[in-house]
Amino acid sequence: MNPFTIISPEDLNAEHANQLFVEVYSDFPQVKNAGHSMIVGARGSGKSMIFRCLLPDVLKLTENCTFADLEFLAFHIPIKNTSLRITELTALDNHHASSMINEHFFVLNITMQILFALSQLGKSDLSYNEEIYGLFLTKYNRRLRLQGCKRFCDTNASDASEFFNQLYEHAEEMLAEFMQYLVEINDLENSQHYKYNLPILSFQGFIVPVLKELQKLPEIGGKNIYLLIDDADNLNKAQTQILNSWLSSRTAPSICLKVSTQIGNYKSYITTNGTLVEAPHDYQEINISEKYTTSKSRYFDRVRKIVEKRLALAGMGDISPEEFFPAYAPQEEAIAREKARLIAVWETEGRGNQPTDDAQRYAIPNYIKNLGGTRKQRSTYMYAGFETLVHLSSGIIRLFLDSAAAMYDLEISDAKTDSVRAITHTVQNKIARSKADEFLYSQFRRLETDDDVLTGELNAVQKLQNLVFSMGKTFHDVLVSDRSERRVFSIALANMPTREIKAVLDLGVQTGYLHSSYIGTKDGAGRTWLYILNRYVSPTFVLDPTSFAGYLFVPNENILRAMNIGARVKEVPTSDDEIYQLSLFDMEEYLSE
Amino acid sequence: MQNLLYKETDGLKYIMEQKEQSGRRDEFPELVPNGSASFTHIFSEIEAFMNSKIHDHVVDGAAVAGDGMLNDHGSGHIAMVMARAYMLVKDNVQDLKGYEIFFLLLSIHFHDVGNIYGRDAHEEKICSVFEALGDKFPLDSTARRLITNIAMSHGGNHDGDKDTLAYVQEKEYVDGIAIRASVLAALLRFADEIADDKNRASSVLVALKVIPKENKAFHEYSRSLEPPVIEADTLLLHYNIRNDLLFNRVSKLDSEVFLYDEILNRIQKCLCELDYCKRYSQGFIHVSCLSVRINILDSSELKEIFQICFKAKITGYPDKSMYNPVCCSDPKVPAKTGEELITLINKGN
Repeated sequence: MNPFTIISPEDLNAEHANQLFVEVYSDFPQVKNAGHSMIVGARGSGKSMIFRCLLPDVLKLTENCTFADLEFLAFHIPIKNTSLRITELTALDNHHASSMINEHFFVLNITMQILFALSQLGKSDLSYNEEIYGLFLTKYNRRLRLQGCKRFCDTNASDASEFFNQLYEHAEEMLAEFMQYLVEINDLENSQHYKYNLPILSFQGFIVPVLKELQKLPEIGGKNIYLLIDDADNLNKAQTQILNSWLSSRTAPSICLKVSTQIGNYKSYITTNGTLVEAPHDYQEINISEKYTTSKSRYFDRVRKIVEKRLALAGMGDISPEEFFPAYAPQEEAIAREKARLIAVWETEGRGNQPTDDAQRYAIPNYIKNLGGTRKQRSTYMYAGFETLVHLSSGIIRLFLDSAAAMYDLEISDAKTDSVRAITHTVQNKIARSKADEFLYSQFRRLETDDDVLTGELNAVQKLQNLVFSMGKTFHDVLVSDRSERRVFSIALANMPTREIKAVLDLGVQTGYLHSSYIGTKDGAGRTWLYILNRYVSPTFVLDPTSFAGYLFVPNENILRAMNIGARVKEVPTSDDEIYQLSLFDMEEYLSE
Repeated sequence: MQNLLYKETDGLKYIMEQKEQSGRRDEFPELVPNGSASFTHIFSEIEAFMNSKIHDHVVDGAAVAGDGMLNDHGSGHIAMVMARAYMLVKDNVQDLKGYEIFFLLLSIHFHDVGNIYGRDAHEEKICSVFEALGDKFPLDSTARRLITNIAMSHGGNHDGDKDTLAYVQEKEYVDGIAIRASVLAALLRFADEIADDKNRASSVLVALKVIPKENKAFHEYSRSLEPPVIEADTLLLHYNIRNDLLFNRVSKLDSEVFLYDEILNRIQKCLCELDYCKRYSQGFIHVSCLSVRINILDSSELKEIFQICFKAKITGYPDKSMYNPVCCSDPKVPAKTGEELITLINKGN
């Protein structure tokens, strides 16, 4: 079996999840600590896996303890691929109790997820006591009544699993009734009749009191409860504002909301009553997307551990990641020779403050430049070696695993054997290049199908594609120029962006083509946006992915030309003064290398 | 034109009916629930039910539940809260929609309804009354919830949080009409606060000395207050105290207080409620000053022997102690001082 296959965390059983999981909580302690938090990260950065490993079945294995010993009880509330994403609810907007009915639907979904998860726990996890569970049921039914429910739960269960399953079935019936209501209000002939005579469950009126009752059950006794709202960017705006209202309520530490979302895609930070929710006042924000990929970064360390675990599971625990993904030796040797040469000539020709500065800055660019006069000739540069692959993945673990899995498959197919103990540099390079091309061509086309476009006008996706290509080509030109800092990977905005520009750049961040950050302005007064190109595309443009220290200040007119006609974002600067380097303040972690 | 149910002296009810009769768009939903002549008729039926079946049992009910005999929480008090609410919004009542007045009036009917079972589990009691109302209440569960939320925010706390108005929807559409629920809740809350004058006290019971001892102060307070009046931005509060009540303490729960001190306490609470409710009232409450006059009367209650006057304002520059920065995770904890921050950082190192 391919050791790098990506399985959706939701489909992983507890044992497998525990085997694959690499500890991240020491880097991001707020994820596990009590309190509301929002986990933001690019698609594929591992948010769902973090949530999967907070669930009791995995935690029992990780911490080698019983259910009763667990510190907290987490419930997974996936938003993607659930019935929450229905558009029929928009019929209520500005007409009839939209926020109340949306909240009911949201709460009902969460209740069902909680009840289902409880019904899946084993007999050894929850011991059934008729009297205690009877009391819970009485309180549960009381809350249902107060929320307008007219049919109550009854149970003839003999164990906890059956008990919660019967509650789940009752909630399922409520959902069916609700769906019937949606059908009715979307029926054109009856569109005037919005009367809603079903229950209205609310977070404060139902979820919180029911969870507090749950916390009185023997094995749950006093545990904090975490609701892991996964992929919250898939909620509609009304639902997002409802979730924000919950975040602004002070239910933590007893009941904590852990919300995961893709960077830039969360639809609103306003509550239903129009107040702002913000970190750190209402929740802790945890950004798990890593810009830094150097060998001393925590991302590098995490990828190493993930690869080691996966190799060990495939019976190759004796092989290191560097041995499994070897670099191309002649290239490494040539770069080493270039480094030695730069150090030797530093006294007479050197530009940096120290001999190693020049070696670090110019060895790979010089090597690439010396490969030939055209970009095509320079394309013989080999993207291989564990460290290079980590850099290419640009801080997104799924990009690494996706490439590694494809490399493994190709290696098996090329080698005509059932197992391999290393991926040759040619296979690594081939996949790195094809993945970069796929990312730049196929993925853009997939995005485009969802985007409305007026004939003859470029849509945001096409503008972004133009900009990304323009950045890639410009950065290559700089790489093979005679400038001091040639490893440019970012653009900083010289002016306040127009709405058009900001929309395209935001789309770039949301889709993972760009990372965003901030940088001091040219004149030192305030800060401006910095956009770093995803290094996954390095092979297509023949770029050196090992550093993104250099950046260019680019005015709006250049960005507009790049977006609309694919012009370079900037001509290769004639002076070294026009290429800036991230300062120690901006990039402390990187420069500490 | 239909026969009108209310006359001008009925205040908000009359305004509501006039707005419904006007047929203006956005005052009421286009469709009246089946079987009802108008929303005003629906209100009238509910009011008749509430007055006959619910309100007049409130005082006894509270006593049964062990809350002592409270001052009037019955139909008289409901009428008084409605009158006070009208007094508050009189100048800009045209800015309230008819359907909002309908919700305000219904919420006033429900705001004390829980006392019939004691003050606990307010929500449960409102729910029970809705169940008892049955078909007389032809509105759907969203309308019931909105009324419950407005009615429940008039005091107490929400899971320990005294900012109960924050839990009421700022705006929610019902049948196509946007209802500013938090404004209605703020109006109800402050109207209730100032609906505590001599018409509320059970004067007969006080005279007969059958008021439970622990509630005497509440009754004497109500009995001494004349109906309040608003002039410009000032709420005039006039009290008449018999001189024997000035020199002797009256019972209040487990202790005894001078009635004068009780008045001061209540003025302070009233100003605090005013400040609080104004924040949610979107300009509908324009009172910003309390003008207090206390007359001390001889034992015949006919002759004034002394008078004291003072003002309590929320205008002017605020007391900055109200605006102390607090900790994000716990608003009760003040933000760290410079010295505390340095200690914390040094400890970390």
